[in-house]
Amino acid sequence: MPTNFRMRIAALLACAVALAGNAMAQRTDAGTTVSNTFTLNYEVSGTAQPQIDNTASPTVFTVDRLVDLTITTLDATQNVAPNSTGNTIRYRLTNLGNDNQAYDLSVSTAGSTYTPGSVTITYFIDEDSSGTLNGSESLQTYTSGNPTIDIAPDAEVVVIVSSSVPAGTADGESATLTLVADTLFPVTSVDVTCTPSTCTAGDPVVGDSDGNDLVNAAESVLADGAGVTDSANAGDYSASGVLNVLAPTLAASKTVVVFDTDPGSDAACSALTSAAVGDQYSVPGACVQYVISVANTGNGTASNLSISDRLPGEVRFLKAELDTSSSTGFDDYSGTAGTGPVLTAPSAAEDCDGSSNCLVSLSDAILSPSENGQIRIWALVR
Amino acid sequence: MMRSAILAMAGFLLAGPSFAAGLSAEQVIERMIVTESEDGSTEVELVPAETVTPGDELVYSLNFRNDGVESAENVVLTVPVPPEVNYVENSASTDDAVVAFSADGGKSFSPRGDLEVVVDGEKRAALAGEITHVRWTFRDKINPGSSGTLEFHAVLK
Repeated sequence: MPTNFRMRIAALLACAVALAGNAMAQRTDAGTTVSNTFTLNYEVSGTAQPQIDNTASPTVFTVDRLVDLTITTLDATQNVAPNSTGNTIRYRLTNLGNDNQAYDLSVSTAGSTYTPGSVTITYFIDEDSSGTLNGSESLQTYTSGNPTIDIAPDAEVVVIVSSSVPAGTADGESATLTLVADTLFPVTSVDVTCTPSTCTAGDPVVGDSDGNDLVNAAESVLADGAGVTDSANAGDYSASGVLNVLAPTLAASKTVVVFDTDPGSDAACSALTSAAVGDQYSVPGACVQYVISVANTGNGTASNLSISDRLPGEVRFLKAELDTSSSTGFDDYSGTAGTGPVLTAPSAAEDCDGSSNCLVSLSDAILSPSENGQIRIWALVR
Repeated sequence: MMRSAILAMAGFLLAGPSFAAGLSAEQVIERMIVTESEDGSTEVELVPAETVTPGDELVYSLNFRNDGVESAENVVLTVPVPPEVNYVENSASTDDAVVAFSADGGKSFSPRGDLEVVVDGEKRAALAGEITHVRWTFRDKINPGSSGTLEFHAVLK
């Protein structure tokens, strides 16, 4: 009876068999020798015969190195501001094989409309599968072109890609950051047949042919799927994250309205909220109101906003107030202590000299998208 | 005494030198390579299992033959299922022999439908992955000149 024979059966397999793709963990370690035996007992004419078995020389086979991995993006598309730094996207890389592996990590920004700056990669083995660094988990820095530390079968690695947005990046621009991981031989393999000559640490794992060239040594089988930019069965995987730029678009204007040609007094002018009925003229003694109006027609919040205006020497400052034509107007900027927005103006009525006084300024403020903020300044023409 | 003399004579008359008592068996393990072709049909190729990838399906075959002059009776073939593989349900041959299974390391055997395990003090039906041994008991004698194959499938964990 020949020990090697090949059968070719062309058939439609009706039953579903759990082949590679079974998500169960605890895959058999690469390089394991599986030993198989049998025993055969029988009688002749009622007398038991010696047992036939292969215990002295079991049938053996070696378990291959299965290379498989996947990456999923943990952080959904995020909004970022121009000139911001440290914008992070997390990815989860899982070793679905049966050997320790190291990985080469790289980030591609193809498909981006702005170029992210300062792209850095850090990672950690996420022992509790939480997605964040905690407990005894330790953050590793990653140097491009180098291997990661060894990652065990079924271990999950959270990879954090950090980048900045250049100043002046326009509203609506976006960046796609694609993380690519390629499988490398580890420093320490679980496979006893993996010697430095066949498995050099840091070398890419290449699929071995199906010709069973390695006798009693595990072959490497690449069984990965195709990620966003990579092919199946190549030992690599990829996944993308997106950063959308939301920038404010500010339009500022300054207008002046004559409320009353002759209000009679500082107090009477300050009490007006609109122009009196009839034609009003700008003559000495007239009551006027300046309105500095800022509108944000963009999609991002204008942060740490400041405005300053010095009244001309021809007027007498009376009072200044904040107002809005939308719902909120100027709001507090959390990056500055205290509650904003802060309007700073002369504490009492004063004649302006055009150079050293009558300064009205806004600080500790933000202006959100679709908001309009106003500074109204009451003054008398001198 | 007479019986063994007859047996010895029978052995002397045999042409093949390998197996003195007549009944012989050989274990062959192959792995399945499944290929889907473009026309939708599926090809299954069997190759000797030298290196096997987790997830591969294996065919455990036991080829037997009786080269002797006496019939072999009450033939019982037992094949342990290694811990690294899971038995594939309904894959054991049933033509020449009655098949039974063990889930307790070979201490006891039952038909598949009766096979139970005790977990945390409670009895329940055994899962395919818990089978530790496959045993075939031949219904009839194996006559001189007869041969055949018994097999089951298993998947490498």
